[in-house]
Amino acid sequence: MSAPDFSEPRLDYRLDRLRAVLEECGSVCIGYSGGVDSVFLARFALEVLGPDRVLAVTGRSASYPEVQRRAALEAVRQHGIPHLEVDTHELADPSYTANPSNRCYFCKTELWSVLGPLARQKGLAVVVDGSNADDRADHRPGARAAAEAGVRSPLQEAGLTKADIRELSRKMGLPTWDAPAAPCLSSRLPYGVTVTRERLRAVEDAEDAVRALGFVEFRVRHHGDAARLEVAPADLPRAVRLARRLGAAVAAAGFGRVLLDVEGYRRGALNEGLPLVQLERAS
Amino acid sequence: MSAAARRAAEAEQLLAAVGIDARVTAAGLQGEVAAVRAPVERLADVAGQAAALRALGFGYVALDIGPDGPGQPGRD
Repeated sequence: MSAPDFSEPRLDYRLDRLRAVLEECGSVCIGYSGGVDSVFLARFALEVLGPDRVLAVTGRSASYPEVQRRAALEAVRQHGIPHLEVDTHELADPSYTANPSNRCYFCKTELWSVLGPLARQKGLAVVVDGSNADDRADHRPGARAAAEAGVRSPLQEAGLTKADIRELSRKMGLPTWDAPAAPCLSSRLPYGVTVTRERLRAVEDAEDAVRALGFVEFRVRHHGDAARLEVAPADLPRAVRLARRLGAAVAAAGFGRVLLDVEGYRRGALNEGLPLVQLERAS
Repeated sequence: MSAAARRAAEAEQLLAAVGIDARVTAAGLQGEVAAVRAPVERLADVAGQAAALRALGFGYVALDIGPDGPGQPGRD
C-alpha cells in the first residue's frame, strides 16, 4: 500500500499525536467491533507498532450483529491485522438485560473483564478502545467502564474526531471510511424492555431482510408485537414502492405489526418518544 | 374509552381535516406509536402532520405496512 497523503496540517498534527500515544503504550490489545473507529485504530496501530505488538479482539454475543461480525473479519483479513474473537456474556448479567439507560456500562464492563486478562496472557501492555474526540460530548456510559478498567482511548487522546477518522480512513483505503454507525442490537429495544435473545434475534432477522432489499441506513425498532422501520429519509420514496415486500419481510421475522416511520431514520430516535419509565411492566 | 383510544380518535379527526382518510390505532408497548392505516402513497402527506400527531401524545408516527394492513400500495 502506498503511503497515505496526510497533507492537511491539523490531521498531520493529530496523527502525530496518535502515533506518540501508541508508541507510549508499546503494545496494544484493541477492543475491535469492526466499526469506523476501531478498524482505523487497528490498521494504524499495526503500521506504528507492527504485528507482534497489536491484537484486535472482537467480543461475540447475541447483541453483536452477524453482518457486522463478517465486516469486521473481512477488514482484518484484508489488512493483515492480528485478530481474535472471544465470547462475552453480557446477557447473563441481569443489570444489562434490565436495559437501563446506562446499559452500555454493563456491556463494556463485561468486555473489558475479558480483554484485560487476555491482554496480560498475550503480553500486551495496554487495552485500548476506539472512542474518539466527539464521544466526549455524548452520553456514553460505556466510557465509565473503560475508565474503571484502565482502558485507554488513543483516538480521543490524540484529539481525532469522527470526521478526521473518516477522512484518514478514506485516504488509507479502509472499507469502513463511509460506513454508517452500527450500534449493538440492544439499542433497538426501548430502555426498560428486557433484552432477550429472542428479541435480538427478531430484530436481527428483520434487519437482514430489509438489508436484502437494498437498504443501507435504517433501523428496525422493537415495540413489543410491532416493528417500527426507520429508513434514511432519502430512501422513503423507495420504501413506499417496496412497502409490500418490506412489510412481508419484517413480519416474517416474527412481528405481528410492521410500521413504516413517516419521518425516517434519526439517530437515537427509539427513546425520544418514550418516558423513562419501567416499560418492562408492559412488555 | 382509554386514553390511547382517545388519542387515536383525535388523530383520525386531525388527518380527516386535511383530507386524509385513515384509521389510526395506538401501537407499541404503551401506545406510543400512531399506527396509521392509509394508502402508503400518502406517506408524505401523513409526514406533514407528524408534529401535530405527536402533539396529541404519540412519540412516533408510522404507516401500517404489515401483510394484513390496508396501507399497501398497488405495486411493488
